[in-house]
Amino acid sequence: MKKFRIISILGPGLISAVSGLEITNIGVFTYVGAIYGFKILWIIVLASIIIALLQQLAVEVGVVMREGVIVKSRKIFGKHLTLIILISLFIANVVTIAINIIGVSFTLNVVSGIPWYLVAISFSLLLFGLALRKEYMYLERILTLLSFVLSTYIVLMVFHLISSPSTVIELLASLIIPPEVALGRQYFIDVLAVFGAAAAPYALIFQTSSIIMKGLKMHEIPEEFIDISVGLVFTSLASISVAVVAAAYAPENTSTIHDMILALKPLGIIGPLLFCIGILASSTLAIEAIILCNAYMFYEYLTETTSLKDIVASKLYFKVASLTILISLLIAFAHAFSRNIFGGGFADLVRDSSILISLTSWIPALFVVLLYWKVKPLASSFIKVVSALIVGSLIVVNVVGVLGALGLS
Amino acid sequence: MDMWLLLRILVYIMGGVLPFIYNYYYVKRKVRRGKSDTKKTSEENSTVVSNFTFSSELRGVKAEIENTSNNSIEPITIVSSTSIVSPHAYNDRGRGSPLYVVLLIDHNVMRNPEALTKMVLNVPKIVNNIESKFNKK
Repeated sequence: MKKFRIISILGPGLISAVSGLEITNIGVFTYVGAIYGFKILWIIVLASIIIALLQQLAVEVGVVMREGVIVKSRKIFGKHLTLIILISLFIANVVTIAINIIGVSFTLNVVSGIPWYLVAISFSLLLFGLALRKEYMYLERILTLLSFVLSTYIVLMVFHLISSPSTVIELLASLIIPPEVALGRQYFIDVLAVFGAAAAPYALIFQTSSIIMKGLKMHEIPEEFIDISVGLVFTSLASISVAVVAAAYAPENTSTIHDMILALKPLGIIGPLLFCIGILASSTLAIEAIILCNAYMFYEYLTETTSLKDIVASKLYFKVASLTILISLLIAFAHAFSRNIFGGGFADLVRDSSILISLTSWIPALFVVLLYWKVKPLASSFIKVVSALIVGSLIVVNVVGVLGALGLS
Repeated sequence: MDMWLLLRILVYIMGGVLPFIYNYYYVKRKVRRGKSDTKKTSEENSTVVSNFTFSSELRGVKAEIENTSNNSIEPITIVSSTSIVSPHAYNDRGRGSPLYVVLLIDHNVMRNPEALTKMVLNVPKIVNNIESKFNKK
């Protein structure tokens, strides 16, 4: 029975971690893996742990305060300050969707030769249709299963480690003791991109609200923390496998989506096909979740209530869904055309977008930490100080990093 | 030792691994303590209720009680006292001061076991309502 219990915990954990790998993560981890090899792995793990810690705090906030982050922030910090979280999250969300639209379009273009802009428009219409269906539980399961083909990265990593056993020690050593890297502006920017790719800012807001909707009790928090830990292990495993596979097989100057697909070359002709199926499924899943999150945030802000059923049934849902897809499509076109004019490959585009996501994601994180400071029964003084230091230093690093990326520092 | 390496290890441990693990055990300990406090409170309540004696002499209604004691007072099974599971029942009040709910029961209700049982069973609901109102405010 114990075995079954472990499988029931680990199975969904692995599936959700792998299906959470969308083009933003794969793009950035392939790019940094190809450049830095194993030397960047500890940053991927650190970023994942920090996100997991913030998720723990979000759970505590949800259980004790019994209100979503947006509703509570509005009551405590006022509607103007809360609007900042809303706008920053909306920007991060539409940029993430735009990158996914470009990623899917470019991938299908490479594999089938169909012009990318036609794919982008068709894919956006498909997304809109799915968003209007509101309930698509079976389709969601099919997409999750399809996106599981991205576990190919884990299989390839294992295959690589078996074929060259000396790399196992190197890999473990780089995960335990952070390796030496030549510090510079580029490294700094790439680290920010990793943080942006690892962070899913909308997940923090969803975490609190799902806790309230589930009606989680205080004594159930440790179980929820175990779920977060399992998620952390699998997310780290999936992310590390992408970087390790890229370090082993991708060209060092990875810049296009074609180079990223090349990382799967040991699989032969099946590689591009699996990449295409996996990316299409995981991007669709991610985008639908983000659209729902956008509608959810605005609904919470306007009505000060936390209920997912009401949001999907409301008129606001249709408005927000259409606006989100339209803005994302426009950003996708603007991004793609600006790259044609100013140069730079898909990897640069994903990296720059991840930096922007990283910058915007620390605003909701800051609000979660501020709310955590008000969680009386469970908050620990040590975690209060550490979380404030983490978010504080990440905000500084992000601001400096963005200035660096713009060539201002 | 290389200072830069030391700094990297420090950032790795203090910035992620340690707080994550610490928070898990901290919350687990708090919740476990809360549970035992609730259990203790429940046991205490049960003792209080078991030892409950109706001091009818104070009210000068001895005769009435004696008449009704066989069919009214006995069936009042509050001995299985209701333990109120609430975040405010422990943790923010500390170990020594768990949440107590004092019921002021009218003499007529006291004679009516059904009404009394209903009242006692409604306590958690009432506490939840108060809490949610309090949270909303």
